[in-house]
Amino acid sequence: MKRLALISSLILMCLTAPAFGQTGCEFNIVGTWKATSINSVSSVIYRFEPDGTITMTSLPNSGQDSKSKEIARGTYKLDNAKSPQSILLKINGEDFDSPDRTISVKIIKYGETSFTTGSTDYDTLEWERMDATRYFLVLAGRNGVFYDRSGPTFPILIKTDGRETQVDAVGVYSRDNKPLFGTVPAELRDEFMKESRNASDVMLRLEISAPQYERGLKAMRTWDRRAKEGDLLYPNVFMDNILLVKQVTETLNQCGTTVKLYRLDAGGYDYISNDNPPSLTAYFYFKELKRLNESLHIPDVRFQEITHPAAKQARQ
Amino acid sequence: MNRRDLLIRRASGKALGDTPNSTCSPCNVGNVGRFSNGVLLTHENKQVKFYDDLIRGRQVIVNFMYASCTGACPLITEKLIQVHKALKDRMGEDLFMYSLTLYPEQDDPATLKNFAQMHGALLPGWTFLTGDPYDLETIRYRLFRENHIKFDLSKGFHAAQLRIINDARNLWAHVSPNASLETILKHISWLDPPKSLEEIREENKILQEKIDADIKLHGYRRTV
Repeated sequence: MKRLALISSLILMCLTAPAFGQTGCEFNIVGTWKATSINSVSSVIYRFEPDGTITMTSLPNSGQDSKSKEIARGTYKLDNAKSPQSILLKINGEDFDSPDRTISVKIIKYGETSFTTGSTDYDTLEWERMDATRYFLVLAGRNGVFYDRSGPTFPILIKTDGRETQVDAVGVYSRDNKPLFGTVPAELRDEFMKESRNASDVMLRLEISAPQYERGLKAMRTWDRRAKEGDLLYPNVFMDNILLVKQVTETLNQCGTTVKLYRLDAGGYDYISNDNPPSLTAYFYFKELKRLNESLHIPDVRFQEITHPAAKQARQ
Repeated sequence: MNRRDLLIRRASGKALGDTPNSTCSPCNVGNVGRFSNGVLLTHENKQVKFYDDLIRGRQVIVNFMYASCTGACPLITEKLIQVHKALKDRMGEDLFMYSLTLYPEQDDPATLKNFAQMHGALLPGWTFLTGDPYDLETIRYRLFRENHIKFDLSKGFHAAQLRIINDARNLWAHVSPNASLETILKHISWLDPPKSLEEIREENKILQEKIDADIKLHGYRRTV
């Protein structure tokens, strides 16, 4: 009976173990989080600084003259970023009723953009990341440009805070109708900043988290370096591009599944690689990802509202 | 090097690659690009340039491994020890062995040295190498690329291959480390530096003596 209980608990542990606890998936608490109690509608904004300080502010009401107000300040300590169990909070606020002003909250589950805490004395809190910076990944492709009907295909990473926007794109692009690999020229990249009506174009725009953005950017910059230093892994740039798009898209699910991916590895089941030349593989891979993740696609109108909040206000 | 220089070299009995790591004129300048010249760290924690310090003008045997590998790597290391024993007079002189890690994040020089010590592979002419993942990935693709994503991405697949290179002769060969010791030695010999006229004459003499003895024993028409 004891053995059965042990096996059952082991199975339960395996089932409940978060996919997040993988290599390179450390929990990063630094940033702004909205904490909402599951028993009430009240929310508080917590700003965790890298130096271990914390600021709590109230959420602004919907009324016209309402502003967010600072409630308290203090310090925090996360026990272990690789496998976090608890956060120790020391609050210096006036209105806090804890005698020693120190509370330890247990982390029940965690991910890149949210986590849940609970303690014996307080409600369970749902924490949601609410940093002002937004991140996007655009998978852009076109065919019918080069001699073999293939065309430029590249991922674009976008980081915007509503005022400044940083755009990075690396992959296969066209110059004088010849395929080249490296940083995509701005004019070609900008053609894919909007949805295209051209049937030969494919474009999927996904909103991603900061860690997903950083991982994608790291892969992209490594490939850019390879292109600049003449260290590409294949003599055929389309093969290099397949590895690039594979790496950038697969890092999305490195710390938990957020998008539906297609297994692009030239295995027996990989009909895209098996049925197409390398020059068209990345294009059809993007098409397949677009089909699989259509519901996650950010249309132009929504994207404009995020990158240009003034345009949204003007329309309202 | 023109044909005249080559003939003079041959006539003088000087092998093309008999001065390892020298500024060899037959070395193809373009070879740096073919191999990559990334800076690596040896198991003795010494910085080396992959092409300039390890490959240029040399005959080498290269394989990929990792210290925590419990599958093929120990068996392959064992096979390489046998190769080293068979060619110990040449090792570190005109033949070198390099074992590069597939997981540089895990394998620092001390870990590699420990691995080599544990397997009795701390031998002359055999260097274990780690470095920046970028450089090791570049070298892995330059030396072992199959032009097939599935195989190229599989690190385990690359742990089970041996590449033999003679840079001075601009020759490459590949052999499976699972092959017999005899087969591996045969493959290595295919890339050996060209022999001098005296050596060839001596070999022919020995061969002729064997043939003569055979004929004396069995006659010209040997019946098996």
